[in-house]
Amino acid sequence: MTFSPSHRVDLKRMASKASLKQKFLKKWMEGLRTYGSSNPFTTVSERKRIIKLSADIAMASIQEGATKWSRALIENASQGMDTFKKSAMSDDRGARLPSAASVAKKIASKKISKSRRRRTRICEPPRPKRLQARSIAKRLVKKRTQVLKNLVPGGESMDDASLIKETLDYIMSLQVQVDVMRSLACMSEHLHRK
Amino acid sequence: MEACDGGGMEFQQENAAAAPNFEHANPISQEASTVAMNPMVMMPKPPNTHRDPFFSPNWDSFSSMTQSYQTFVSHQDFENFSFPPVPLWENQGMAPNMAQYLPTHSGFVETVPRAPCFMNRSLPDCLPQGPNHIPPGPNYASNVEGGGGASEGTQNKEGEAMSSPSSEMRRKRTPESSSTYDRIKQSNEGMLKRDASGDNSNVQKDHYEKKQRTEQPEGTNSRGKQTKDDSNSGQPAKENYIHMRARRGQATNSHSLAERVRREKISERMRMLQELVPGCNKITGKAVMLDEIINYVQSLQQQVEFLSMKLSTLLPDMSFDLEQILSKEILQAHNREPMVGGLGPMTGLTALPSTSQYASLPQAPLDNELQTLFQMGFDSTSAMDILKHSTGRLKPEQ
Repeated sequence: MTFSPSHRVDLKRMASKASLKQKFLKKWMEGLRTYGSSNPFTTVSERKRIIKLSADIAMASIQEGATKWSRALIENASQGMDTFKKSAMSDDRGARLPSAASVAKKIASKKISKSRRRRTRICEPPRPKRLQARSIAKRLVKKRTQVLKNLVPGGESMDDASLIKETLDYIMSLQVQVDVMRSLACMSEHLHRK
Repeated sequence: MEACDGGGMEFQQENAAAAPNFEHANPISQEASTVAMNPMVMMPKPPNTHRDPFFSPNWDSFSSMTQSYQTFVSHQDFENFSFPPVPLWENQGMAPNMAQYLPTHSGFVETVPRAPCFMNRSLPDCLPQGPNHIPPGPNYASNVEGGGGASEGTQNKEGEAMSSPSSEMRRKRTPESSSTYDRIKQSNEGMLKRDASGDNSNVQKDHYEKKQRTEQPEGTNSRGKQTKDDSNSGQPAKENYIHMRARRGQATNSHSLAERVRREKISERMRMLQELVPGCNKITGKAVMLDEIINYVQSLQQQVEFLSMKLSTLLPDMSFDLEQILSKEILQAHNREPMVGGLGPMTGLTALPSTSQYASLPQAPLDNELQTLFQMGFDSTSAMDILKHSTGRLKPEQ
């Protein structure tokens, strides 16, 4: 690892990441155990879906509602869980937020984003010639911002600055999730080999 | 938000030389000295000496800001939140009321940044961030230089000084406060003349139209992504904006200040992202950086999918009793295999994101993995140490 000026930041981040991993693993296992006991699944795809959803919920609930993406993720995952007898899950952590409020928030955010999209069409065309490169770059950035908004859960109703912040948190949580899942998978694989 | 709206209406009443609501708003303001309601409550009562404890410590740091600028700013923000379109701070109504609000500028500007949730108009910013928030290191904080106002410098320094010994949550408020500060400037910008330079004005206009409903400021957000120069430093132009704004003759310094601060904030956050996303150290463009971020997020999400599929195949019984499994395995592994000291605990995992490498991992890493996972899940204190060691190699390095 390079000892850059941001090394200190790396260490701090790693320490926080470690604690995140613990929390994530705990919550994830809790949910899986709860689910596994009540609903014996046989299909691989069902199991995979359950694993993923419970991991998402665990990851989002760690945030304790402080980030937008976590709330949106919980909502989405709760909807996904509905097909798997949500009642077993929601007791644990699926409904951190009152569902009415979250649904309302979602609707509100959709409304806002829709109105924003409508209004963005009322714009002047970019000036030609010397400013074309700049407008191209701008368009690129806008397009990619839109793509990023689609990627990050609940990102449609964010402005650019908070979008970047949410992406930061989201990426970090995804990294934690991937690391834990990967080590679990690797471990299970080796166990099964014996 | 109710108090905000009450504050807006109260503001109008203040203009009518009557502030019956302010007394009841007082307790709110006293509680919320660092929370949203402050600017709204404080603003209507500038000449009141009771408010001095709030104002006085703040005035010094912002004495360099232009007086009228802040008045417009404050009124601008009120306009966002009051129900009726208040013409008070349009052209005519302003002049007689200006005088009484002049002394409060510096105080107001200071208090507003302390109320990020109020200004940001978005609830999540009010809440304390989760542990995921990366504390911006000193290199980040130093980059938030601001356009050149001494007030900005002091504000940021305050943020830095405040954040360095404190927790992540408070450190997070530094960018928040600067963002609020940006928004104030943005709102002022929205009120003032627009830029003549086409590109920035277009973007700004898009954004203004986007944010009409929720938030007037933030106009240069997408502009901020450009990392271009600030050539659009306040050339006046006539644009068609949906939202009604008064146009004021203001110094162009505030324009460039606001834009620069906004851009700095965005680029600061992009830099933080650069550290997270592997392989982005050399990228210096926002568009390319965004592309990388998108690819990375997509790849992470795909990995999650893949890993969950893999886990579902590996654990058909869905019995996640890690304790039993791990303890059994650890005991067996210790008995069976001598420790092979070649590899570190998770080097196999760190270096190679693909799962094809898993098959080649020897036993020693597995033992350590098991220990790590076991302790990760079930022993918080010692797990921290182990994870600290292992995550040093876990982090996918560029």
